[in-house]
Amino acid sequence: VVERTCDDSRSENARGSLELEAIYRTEAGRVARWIQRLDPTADTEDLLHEVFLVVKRRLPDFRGDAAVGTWLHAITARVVQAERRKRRVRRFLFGRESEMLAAEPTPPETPEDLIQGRELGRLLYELLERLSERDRTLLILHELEGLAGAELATVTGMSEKNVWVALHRARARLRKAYVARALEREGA
Amino acid sequence: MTFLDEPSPNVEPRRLSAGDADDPVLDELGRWFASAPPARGLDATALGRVARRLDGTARKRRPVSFRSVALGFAFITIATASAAMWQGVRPPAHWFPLFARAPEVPAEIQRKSPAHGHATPRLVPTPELPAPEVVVPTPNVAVPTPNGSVPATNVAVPAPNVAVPRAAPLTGSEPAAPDSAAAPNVLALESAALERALTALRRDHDPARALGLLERYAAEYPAGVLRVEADVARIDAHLALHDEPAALALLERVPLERVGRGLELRLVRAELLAKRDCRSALIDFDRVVLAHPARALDERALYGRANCRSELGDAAGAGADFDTYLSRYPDGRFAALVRSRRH
Repeated sequence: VVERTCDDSRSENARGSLELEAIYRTEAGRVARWIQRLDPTADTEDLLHEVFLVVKRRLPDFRGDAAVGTWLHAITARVVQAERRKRRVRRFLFGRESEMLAAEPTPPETPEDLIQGRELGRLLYELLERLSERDRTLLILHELEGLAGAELATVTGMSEKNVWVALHRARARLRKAYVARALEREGA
Repeated sequence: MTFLDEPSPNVEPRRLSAGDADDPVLDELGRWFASAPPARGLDATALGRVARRLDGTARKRRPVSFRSVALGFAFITIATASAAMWQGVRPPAHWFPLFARAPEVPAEIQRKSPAHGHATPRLVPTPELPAPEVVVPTPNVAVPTPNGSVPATNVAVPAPNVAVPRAAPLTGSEPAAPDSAAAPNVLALESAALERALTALRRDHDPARALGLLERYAAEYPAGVLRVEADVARIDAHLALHDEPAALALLERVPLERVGRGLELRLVRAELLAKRDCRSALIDFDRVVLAHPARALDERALYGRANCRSELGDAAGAGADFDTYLSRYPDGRFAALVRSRRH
């Protein structure tokens, strides 16, 4: 019985690692892009590793209620949020992040950059920084990643109806941030 | 309905990047979203690196910086100290002698003090020697002069409301404030005993009774936390009784640098010493003058030092002190004497 149990356990582990490998092979690239969307200044490799460590840990409990992609989205959003929180604490304690953490966003250098919209992207993230983590995540996932209602609900843990209300409010706050920024620039 | 109206919960909002918002600001924001560059993702090499890290069990650890460790240690120390102080635990007084806190006077003792009238002894610190020309009978301590004339200098006994410093700073050899649960009661009794003596001395102007009460206090609390204050009160009582040798004996024993009225008492000691040992008195006079004391003390110290210098044959030093005295206090109480000596 013991031998059989050990065999079962071993085969389950092997199946688990195979599944993880398969998920990694198919989804890692997407997850990396999501990470960059959610936090362009983060160390993508590091966070990708963190995300798949969580996936490895949670995989046995994943029952397939949501699509794998949505499940991964939810994990990615949480990992990025946790990392951003940690970084805020470090910034509060030390004033500036140490070099090994996250490179600062680079300002546009050439007119080409401007043409490619990098400047607009930078301005957009500057505005998003003024919002709460939840608003920021919702807007990025909906507007940039194009997640639909049910997916957003799974990622955020809210009901679908609440997601739409939250999204509208997030937009209102983004608009307010845009106006405030414009006024600041005028004042300067 | 605009993009910002509260939505019907069943309606999925359009994406801003669709660009058909009624609001120009939201239109602009939609343009920003639409022009945001696509995420680059990671190349195959980077993905392979992460995969290898995942294969190994080790999670990437960031090196712990010295600053983080130091900050953590400081945080834990401060938190522990705060918690301990919150719980009423105090470090031994000799750890931080400068910050050693005096025991509080219990409320019941404060209540017992008469609320009316004059001269209520208060156990609160006051600035050093306000004005000596007050109330208590003052013995005339003579500072000898070379020609035998003895100008009397009033040795100031603290005014009734001159406070006794709240607590003596404790040295390592002295016992710390009692820690046990019964400590507040012992301290209350000790404070009450001292307060009775101070009341007799300063409010009732009865130095003999005060001295008796202080003797009793000393017998009951030989290692009491307020014994330095008690010694100072005994000095005042002896002076009020014109018992100068006893006062001098005490003045030579009390650690003057730790007493609130230290400078004033040092001057009194100098004036008493000057009668028999001008060389020792000169040291005290010097220290008082160099400390730039209050006007009343400075005047007495300058005059006493000049007399002692003259006594010891230092005519130039004495002359300089007399000149300084006259320049600072042309109408001082020794001014006439000084002028007569200078001419």
